[in-house]
Amino acid sequence: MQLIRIAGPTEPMRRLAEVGGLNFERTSARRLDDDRWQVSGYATDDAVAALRERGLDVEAIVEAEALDEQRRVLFARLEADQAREAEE
Amino acid sequence: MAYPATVRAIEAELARLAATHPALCTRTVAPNRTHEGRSVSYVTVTGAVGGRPVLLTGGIHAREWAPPDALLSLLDRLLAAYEDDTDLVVAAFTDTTPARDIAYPAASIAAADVRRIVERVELNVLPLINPDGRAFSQSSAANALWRKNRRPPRPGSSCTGVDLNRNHDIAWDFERYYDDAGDDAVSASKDPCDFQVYIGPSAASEPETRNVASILRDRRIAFYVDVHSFSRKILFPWGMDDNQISDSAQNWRNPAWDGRRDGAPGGPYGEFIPAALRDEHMRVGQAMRTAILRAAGSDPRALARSAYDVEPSLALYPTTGTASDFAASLQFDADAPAQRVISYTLEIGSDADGEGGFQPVPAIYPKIEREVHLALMAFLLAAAG
Repeated sequence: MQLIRIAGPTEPMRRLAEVGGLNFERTSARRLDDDRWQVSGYATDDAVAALRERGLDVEAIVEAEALDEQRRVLFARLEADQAREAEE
Repeated sequence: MAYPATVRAIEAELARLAATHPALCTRTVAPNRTHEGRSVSYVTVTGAVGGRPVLLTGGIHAREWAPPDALLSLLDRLLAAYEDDTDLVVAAFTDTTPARDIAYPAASIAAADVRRIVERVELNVLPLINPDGRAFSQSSAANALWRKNRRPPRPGSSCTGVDLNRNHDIAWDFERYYDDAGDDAVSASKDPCDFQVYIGPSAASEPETRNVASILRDRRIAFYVDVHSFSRKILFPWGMDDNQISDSAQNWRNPAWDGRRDGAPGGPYGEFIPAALRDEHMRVGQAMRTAILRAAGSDPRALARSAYDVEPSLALYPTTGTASDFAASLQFDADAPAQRVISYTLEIGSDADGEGGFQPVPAIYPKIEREVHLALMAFLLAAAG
């Protein structure tokens, strides 16, 4: 899983929901020019491949390894809090 | 309370705030328990009777971890500043992750403005609409991107959950509402297995949706912000289609347009918004944007990372059944005396600049929290009048 930006023409960009393994954030959509948009989302490797097959540009914002490290930090905090709560 | 807060910590913090400030802050348990049996609480802050009713919500989407925490810390600081008759200070923050540090200076909201808000606004804060979803999202890294609530699967299905921000009773039945192109583009689905935007079996089917709707209706909310992440945007109605100010017959309730709405910018249909209402949304939204930007200091990198866009909700994908649009729709409700409703979706943070998308890391969270506080204090000042 990685955090990516996708860019392309309006028509295929309006159909991103069809791509399995892609969690895109609707409100991140930005118009780049008259017929090009950019959207951000979380994507599996297969989803990235599918997006490229559709002719869309894909740019990694947070690579899989960095995303895993961010999650590790967050879940370490959560697990400590949850353990404390379980003892209360 | 440490970020990211657990569901239990959020409930405990609401109880603590009400217990610490009993003259100002009342905690109420919303009428509907969640599918997993959790209660949902909100607090009402008011320093005088008859304040203008405001609602701030967060946590409708399980994976968006920062908004509930930032709403609770705002409450804490607002109540403390009011009781101590001091400025509300937004702490300085230095982002140490880029090549060179980026410093965001401290900012403050004057004690007189704090008093104005507390004494002229009835402030309702429901920081966590969807506790079941948050608990699931925080249960393991594999579940971190969970967005919906935890409605159990229907018989014969294995798919859980409804997108609570597609379940409100406004244009809920999108297939009836749009033409084929709008139907294809809409960010909504009738498939219970859709991971993101399943609209639920009926409008307002979900207890969490009904909790929000009941506060909006019963308290006659005139100013509403639903805090989300991410995109650095301040969005105002409508999300169903692009806005237009000239033809009031083009509205979501008019069956003559059913199946003909295009859900796209510039098409034959546009959702009607009175010009004065649109302008007021722009004005208050710009005040929120300016509050964030002014506090960014002079470093061009800080300014670039603090630039929020103010715009209507529709961009590339139309949406139906959102909390923000539903709140705004109540001012056109034939069953209730009309009052103006100002309503936003505040999309905090970014996918870029190390801000972490749905789940900022603790090191950058103070920047996100600052932006929520600055924007919402500007919003509350506008509500106070």
